[in-house]
Amino acid sequence: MTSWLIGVGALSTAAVGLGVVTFGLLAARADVAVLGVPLVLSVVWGWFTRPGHGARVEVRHARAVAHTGRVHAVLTVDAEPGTETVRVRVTTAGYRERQAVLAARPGREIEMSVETARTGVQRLFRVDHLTDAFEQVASTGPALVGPLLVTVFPTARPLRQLPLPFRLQGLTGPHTSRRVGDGSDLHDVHQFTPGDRLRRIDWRVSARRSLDTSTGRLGTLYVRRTFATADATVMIVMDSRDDVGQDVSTWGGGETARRDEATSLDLAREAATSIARRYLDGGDRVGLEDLGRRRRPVPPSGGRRQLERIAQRLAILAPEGTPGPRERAPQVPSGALLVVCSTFLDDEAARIATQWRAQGHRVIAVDVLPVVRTDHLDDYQGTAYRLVRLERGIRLTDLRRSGVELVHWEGDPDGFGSPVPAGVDLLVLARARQRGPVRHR
Amino acid sequence: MNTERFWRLWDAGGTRRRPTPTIALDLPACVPGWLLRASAAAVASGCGALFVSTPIQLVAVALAAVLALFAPHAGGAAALVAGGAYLLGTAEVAPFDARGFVLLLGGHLLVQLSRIASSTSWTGLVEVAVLRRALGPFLVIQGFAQGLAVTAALVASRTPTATWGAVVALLLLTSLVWAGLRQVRSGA
Repeated sequence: MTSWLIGVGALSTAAVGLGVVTFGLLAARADVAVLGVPLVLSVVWGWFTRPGHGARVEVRHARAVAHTGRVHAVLTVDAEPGTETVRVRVTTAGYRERQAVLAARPGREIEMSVETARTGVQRLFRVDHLTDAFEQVASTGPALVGPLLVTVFPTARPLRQLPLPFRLQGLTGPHTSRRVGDGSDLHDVHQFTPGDRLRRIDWRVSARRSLDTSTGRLGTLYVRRTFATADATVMIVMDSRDDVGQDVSTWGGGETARRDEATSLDLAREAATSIARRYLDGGDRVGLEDLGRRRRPVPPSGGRRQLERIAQRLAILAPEGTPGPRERAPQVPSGALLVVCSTFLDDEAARIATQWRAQGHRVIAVDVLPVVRTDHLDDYQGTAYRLVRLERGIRLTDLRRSGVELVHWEGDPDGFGSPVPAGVDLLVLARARQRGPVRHR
Repeated sequence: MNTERFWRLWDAGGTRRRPTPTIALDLPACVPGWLLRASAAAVASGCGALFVSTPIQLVAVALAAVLALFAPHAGGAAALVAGGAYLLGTAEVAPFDARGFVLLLGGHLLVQLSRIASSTSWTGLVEVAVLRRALGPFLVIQGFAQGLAVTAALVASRTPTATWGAVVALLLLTSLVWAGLRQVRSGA
């Protein structure tokens, strides 16, 4: 049941109007008295047309899935006749609020939207509303709907070709393995041995090599052996321990990063989604591990459902407290390719990546630090940032030396990056299949 | 504060933080809140200018305009109308002067504009439909008040032609009351 409150403005208007009428009558001035008539009549009009109930206001999702860019929601205003206006104030952290006075009518739907580069679970569109009768004779008290919990998924970047692990797993898949098996690429021509399939006998080679012309009989049979096929196992490792924005002055935590600029965690989600999608589209198996939380990883698997599972897990990643350092690197499937998405602002992710590399895994470190902005740093902050930047540069150099391959998702965020896009870097890594640590140039 | 930082504060060409992004509302034609406030201030100034004869009154009218601009409120606007009524009642003017009719219109308009402007901030939006919806009752009530004033003026003049005019004005008033009652009934 809506409770209506009598408007102070309307009451005071009516009182002043009555006062003017009285003053005019006492002064025997009809032209003065008539000045108060519209004020009184307006309030009387509003009182007789006041509605029984207030407006029903709701906020709902506009689309089932939200991606970075413009995120939409729908504000529904359902008012009964007699309600004049609905005042709304829409607020969201990180955005300037919007106020509006809406004409009340039944079944109105108004689309709201914000431009966001942030991903993950977000609280958007908190709406405070207030319903007025005509002349604000009566108003409902302010009420609140929302905010909506919106899961914003990153938009995956198209990637052409991605690197593969040193050792491919499985007996079937989209890639050619180094083992002999039932593939299509020729391995060699070999003498027939028990267990070889008859359809693999190469009669031409057998006739050329082992035909005894004197007897006209074949001696030894030869078979064409092919490479086996296999799929790759990829583990994407997220470092959700920190989430830094482009403006370095927000790194300390006193200010929040802008909502229309992607933070490191948003870039990590984008990188992970793009890479996972490319591998899964190619028929490989992808899993997800998080260095920030001690929870069960998403085990490697293939298919579209796996992409959804990974996207959902990525969406709920957020920095939580201060996780302690890990003694050992998390256990990952043998022979898996490891893609570590981190800012490498501290030693933890780099140390774990180096451990994995030492265990024989192929490790690709994806640097997800956004392109930094240092315009608003004071002298102390500037000095601190220069130190952090130098340490990061040394850390990245050490990573390369240990054999970890490095890709900068945003190109050159702070002067230690790469001038080419991440997709090109990954393409180059895909072409170069290497073993063991690379030499630092 | 060192010299470098001092000059950085005065550096007009330095980079500024971009404004915070805004939430977008997909609304039909709207009027910004500042325009309503400015309109209310203009109406207050215009009505006040009709009666200004001393510097103190000029200052009072300016204050009223500033109030209408920065702190619009229906009750406050009604108080300004009361002030105008007082000035009209105490001024050395004949009853039913033309300025009275202008004040009748302006005062009512000022109250309406202030009421709507007080509903939102400077940057807030007011749908044109809200203004359009308020226009009907405004015209009916204003017409009734003006008709009442004309009738009173005609009755007060006591001339034979004016009496017939008063009859016509009464008929108009009756029709306005009927229209108003119909609107009230349909609204309720």
